[in-house]
Amino acid sequence: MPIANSPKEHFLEGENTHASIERDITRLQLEKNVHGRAWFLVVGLGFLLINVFLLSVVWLLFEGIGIWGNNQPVGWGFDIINFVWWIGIGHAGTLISAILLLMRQRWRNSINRFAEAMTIFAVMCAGVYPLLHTGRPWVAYWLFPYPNMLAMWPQFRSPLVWDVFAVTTYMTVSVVFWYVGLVPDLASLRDRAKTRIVKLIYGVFALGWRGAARHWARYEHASLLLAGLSTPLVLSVHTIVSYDFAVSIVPGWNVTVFPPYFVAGAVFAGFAMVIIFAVPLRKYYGFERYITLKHFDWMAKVMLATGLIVVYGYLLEMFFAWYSGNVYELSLLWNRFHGPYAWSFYLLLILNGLIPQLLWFSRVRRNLGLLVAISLCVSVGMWFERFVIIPVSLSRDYLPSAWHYYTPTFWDFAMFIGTIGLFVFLLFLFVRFLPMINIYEMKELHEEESHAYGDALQGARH
Amino acid sequence: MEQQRINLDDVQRVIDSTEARSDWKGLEQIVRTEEHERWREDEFPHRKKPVDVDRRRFLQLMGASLALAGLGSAGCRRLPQEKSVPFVRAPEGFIHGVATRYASIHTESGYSTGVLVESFEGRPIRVDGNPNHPASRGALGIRAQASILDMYDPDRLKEVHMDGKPSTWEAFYQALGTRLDQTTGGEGFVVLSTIIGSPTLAALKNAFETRYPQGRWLQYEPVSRDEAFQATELVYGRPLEAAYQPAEARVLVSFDSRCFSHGPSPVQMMRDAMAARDLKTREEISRIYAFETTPTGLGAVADHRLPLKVDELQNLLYAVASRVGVAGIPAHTVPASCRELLEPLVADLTRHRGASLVLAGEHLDAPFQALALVINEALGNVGKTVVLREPVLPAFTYVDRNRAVLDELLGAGRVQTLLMLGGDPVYTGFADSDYVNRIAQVEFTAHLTERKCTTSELCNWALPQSHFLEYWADGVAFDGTVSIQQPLIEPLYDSRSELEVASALLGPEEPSLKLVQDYHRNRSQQPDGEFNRSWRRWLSGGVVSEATPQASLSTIQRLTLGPVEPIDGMTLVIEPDPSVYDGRQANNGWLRELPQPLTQLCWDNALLVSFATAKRLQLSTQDEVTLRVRERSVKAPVLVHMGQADDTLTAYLGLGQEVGGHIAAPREIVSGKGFNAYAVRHSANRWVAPITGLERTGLWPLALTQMHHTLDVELIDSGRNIVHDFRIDEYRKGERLVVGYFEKVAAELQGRDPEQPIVDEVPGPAQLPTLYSEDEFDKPEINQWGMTIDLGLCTGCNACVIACQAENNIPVVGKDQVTIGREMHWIRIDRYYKPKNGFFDPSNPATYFMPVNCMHCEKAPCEPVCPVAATVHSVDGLNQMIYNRCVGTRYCSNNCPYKVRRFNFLNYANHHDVPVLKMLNNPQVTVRGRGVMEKCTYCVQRISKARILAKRENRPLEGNEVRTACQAACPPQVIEFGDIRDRASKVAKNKLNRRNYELLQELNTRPRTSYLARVSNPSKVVG
Repeated sequence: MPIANSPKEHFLEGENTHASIERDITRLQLEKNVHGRAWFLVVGLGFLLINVFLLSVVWLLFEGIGIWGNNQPVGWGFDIINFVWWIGIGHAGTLISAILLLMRQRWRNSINRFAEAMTIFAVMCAGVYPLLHTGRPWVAYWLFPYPNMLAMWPQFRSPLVWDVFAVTTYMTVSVVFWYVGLVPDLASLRDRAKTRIVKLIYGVFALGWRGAARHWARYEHASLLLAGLSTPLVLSVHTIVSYDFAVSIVPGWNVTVFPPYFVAGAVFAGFAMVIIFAVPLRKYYGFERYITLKHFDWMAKVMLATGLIVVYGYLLEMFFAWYSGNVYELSLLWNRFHGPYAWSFYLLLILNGLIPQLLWFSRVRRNLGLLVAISLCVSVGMWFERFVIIPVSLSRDYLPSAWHYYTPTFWDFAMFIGTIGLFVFLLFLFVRFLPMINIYEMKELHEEESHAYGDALQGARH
Repeated sequence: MEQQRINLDDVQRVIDSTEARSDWKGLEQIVRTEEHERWREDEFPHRKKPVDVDRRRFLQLMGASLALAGLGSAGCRRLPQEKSVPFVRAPEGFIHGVATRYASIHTESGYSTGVLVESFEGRPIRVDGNPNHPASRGALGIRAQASILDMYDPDRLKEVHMDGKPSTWEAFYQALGTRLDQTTGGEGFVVLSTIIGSPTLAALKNAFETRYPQGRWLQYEPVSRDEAFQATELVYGRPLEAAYQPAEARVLVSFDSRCFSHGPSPVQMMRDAMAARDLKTREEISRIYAFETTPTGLGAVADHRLPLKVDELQNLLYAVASRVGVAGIPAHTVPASCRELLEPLVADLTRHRGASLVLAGEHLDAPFQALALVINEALGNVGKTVVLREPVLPAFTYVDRNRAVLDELLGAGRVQTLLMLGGDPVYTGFADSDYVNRIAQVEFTAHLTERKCTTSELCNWALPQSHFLEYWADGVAFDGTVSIQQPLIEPLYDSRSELEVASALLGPEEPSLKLVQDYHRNRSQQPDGEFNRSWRRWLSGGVVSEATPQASLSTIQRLTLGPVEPIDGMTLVIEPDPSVYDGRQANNGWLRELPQPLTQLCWDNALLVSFATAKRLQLSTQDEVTLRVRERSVKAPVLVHMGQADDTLTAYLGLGQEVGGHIAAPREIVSGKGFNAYAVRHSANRWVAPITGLERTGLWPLALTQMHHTLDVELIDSGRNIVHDFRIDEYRKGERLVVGYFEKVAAELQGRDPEQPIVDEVPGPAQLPTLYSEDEFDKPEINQWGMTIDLGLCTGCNACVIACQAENNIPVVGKDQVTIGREMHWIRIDRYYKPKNGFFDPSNPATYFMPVNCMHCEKAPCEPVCPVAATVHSVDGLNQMIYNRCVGTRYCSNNCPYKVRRFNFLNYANHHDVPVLKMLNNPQVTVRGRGVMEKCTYCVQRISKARILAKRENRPLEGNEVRTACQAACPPQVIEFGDIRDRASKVAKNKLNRRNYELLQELNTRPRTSYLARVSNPSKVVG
């Protein structure tokens, strides 16, 4: 990561003590009247949308894929767009928790918990799609290698099988990493809890954490190992997702630049989503001292960098279409600029290519309103990127006689909005029941920043 | 009504018989034999026996009982409520589970085509052509093939209705008898039948007319060939039946002929006309000139085609006539667009005297059709490419004169009893006939009809009519060949045929078999024993007599021709629908969902408007317009049609019905109702009418399977090289015509000229370098299946599409699903327009048809991407689809460059609410459920059947032995299928043809289906 990290820099603001940090963060879980009407409104909205989601799933199972707009030739539409979009959103969490940990980027400490939770929820939303987009979801388990009397394995040459491994591994490692990181904080919650029931619940999940030196030593080892395990996942998951396309022969899919370009896009979209939720939560719960403008500044820089890689990907795609002289690739390029879905391509260029360039200016990076607006643009833009890649390429491939428009239906939108509801609902439940900022790391940061031996301490630990 | 019970004794008999034949391994396993026990013991020698009934035994018993349960319940479901399936009359040698075929005929407007109907355990499931019959020669058109669906139509009238209430045949016959007794000599009694093609029915008509001299028996159909007969009358003094032999014609000139889509013998016309173009069998091919108002299949394959308005056509006919030496042609102006073409055309005609053919559309006025005949006469074609016979129809009459008589009788109130046998005169009547009011005024009306229709709604009696596969009859073909119509099944409902009802006019009703046999016994004058032998021969062969001899012709009469009346303004050309004809098959889902040739329009019909006219009137496809003709108007959708003549709009008859079933007359217009062109059809303008008004009134969404890319076609086809065509001189150079990009590279690497044919080449896809294993198909003992499609011969008639649909249980999905691109056809006929001489002319583009089914790629892109191995390759080169394994990710379809895969987005094959449709399913082919991918299998069930037969006879399976459904149905024999490694097979020879090429060869998918490039034979004089 290109971001310099001077040991002199401060990531906590204001006057803090260990107790004040712990009290401040855990009040969300343990004190009354912290979550105002806004929290209930958002959770209520999320719950409403979950019902929309459930309704669309029931109708989907009852009627079939035909309720969506998918057709011949566009076999994949919203289902796979949303899958890729959600998987991408998860990537910021893994990047922050794994790669930035290994790189000892201390600024990650205040946002990692929250971003990791987003990863898990995003993967949950994503995971719904590969399952439900199959024509016969009740036999979708055939994609897993399991022993059976037919001695029938999945077809390992198919990227969809790789996907199954990639996504399930990703989900498992993310959940384990997140939970392991939560254990000391769960113990803090247990210790501060006022009623027996709450104490009991947090106590069970705290796994008997006592803060002993041996605990800490093992904890640090586990974190490091899990970070090492997660690091390749940041690259591998979206690489494999990109193989779904790159391995095929569809013009517009069969592109070698897809793996790095997909990974960069995922981090780009992931950071955008973290910003979108971090800004209002920080403000609402008064966490300005932990998540500072500096954090946003650096997150914006990551966005800018990954955004530039994405734009480079667009340029490469165009260049190779032209340079190959391949009539199908050229026609695809022409279609992107002039075809029936040209608007989506221009939208994508503006939202992902042009607007993020504002982040070159530090005033923009530190203007939270603008930053959220830009992040929203990036989120939408990255959704359209998948739209341009998936249905737009499929709608016009080799034989013009088979070309057909793709128009999403009400149920396509219902299910998409439903997954957003699921995401928001889970995220706000998380904020309510688990510390959204890593307590002990904040304390550690406080130690490092308030004592001269901070650097020495950090050095000694590793 | 009672349910058909399955007799367990019968099942036992099946088990016994199969055991005796010992080639059925499934059921005999429940019979304990020592040998079998030993074999069972050997397989698992160390196995412990847990209980008395071990697992294997248990499974056997379970399997057997399930099999029996399957027989029972399947039988019950197939034969739900209806009395049916004459097992008791099973022919000798009936084998359970083996389909049998019976010869019969399908009749349309009096002319019959021989068919073979496949019957599976008493259920007819498919109609094929009869190779013995001159109108078929084994192929069959779409309507005859789709007629099987009409029989199982759930909308059929199932019982007699009197004034809307259920009644009985006895009650009807009693009422009819009373009416007959009351009349004196039949006064006021009118029988209105459709055009009579059955000699037996004609005899009944004669008997009726003798018995009731004052009664009238009239024939009416909206589509009749009156003008064609008038033309012969103008030339020869009497009506004659003209048949054509285009196979002998070196030059074929069409003046708006529709002979490929309807008429006495469209299949024969297509086959013969294209036989003259088949470079596989001949060195020289014919030259076709087509001048037409509306693009047709004939125009698409023509070497020279021009869109002409009706008056321009007439002028051109005059011009050609005067130049080939017909005297007395009035002054005329050669249409500007034809000037260049006229001289070479005339030169071609005069050079090929006796081997040319001029065809005039049967909708043109009689004098012009007569002139075409005179031109043929002047060129010496009559007796060679034109064969004239006395009218072959057994009760020949001018239909329009019958109609005039009926109008007059009805108008004068002189009809008291009107018995209508078939047809739908009220719906199909002319706008000025006003049958709605006039028929309602008749005292006693009865209508024999297959479905409720506009006419039957008006009548006192609605009588269920038998489907043609439910009763005995006979018919004549275009050349006078008589055939017997053999029923395949007892009537599904309480229905009668027109023969039976007609017999009730003369006494008690007689069964159709007796009527037909009696007639032919009398006619043949054979003693009983001999007659029985002949009868059996007629039935098994499907043909009773040979073609009637040519008429002896007197000198031709001189035509008196007036000058061509110039047409101002716009003209409406009315035509029968290419799919549903006059509307009789409008309730047939197969035909309605069939993308019409050239327009690719499903479900609706549309007003076809030329590009320039649409531009001038600011109209576009899917606009709704109000069309006015002679004070009548109808709302219709517009379809801008490339190649349509300017200011000449074409409307197809037969849709827009108000009564007639769920498909023909849906409640919502969005379901694909179509518009009713009869509403603007006047008896004075049967086929061509001036348009008096046309304004845009709204939008009318259309379901087109191929639509948006006709205009950016230049971009699309430059470099895509999908369809290839060459001029005959290019072909004669003797080089390979189409060499793919990679093939060129490979040849250059090997240091040889890619355009030279490789002498010792192995038939099959081009062997370009690949990363996949190469020896997959190197097994000489296994057949390697492949297909070739000759683009030079395809007329886009759709016969293959319907054949595939019938053979492979392909569901109908509805207009809404077609609109969003989910049609299920396994074979489609792509239509491409190409620029001519470097620029794209929407008024007359070069048009190509390309049937596309699964290519069965040797390196199929669909296979590696399937996560569950549901699509895999067989050793004989088939790309197989394992429905049971498919989870429906649709990745295979995305990765198919030919986009031939079809996905069951919804439960399309669900017939739970209409059980009668289940009877139609071919039991050899799985019915696919929701969420499963499907595609062309190369008719794997037919391959298996042939392989089993060959194995039983202990011989290798020959390369030409298997015929796919599409191949068998194709009139011009475009499709060839067989073993590509068997050098004796036709398909292997085609693969080595210089015209052979693979679609998208540059992808190196090594498709097993390949195409033969089209070769045209344009006149050198014209650029």
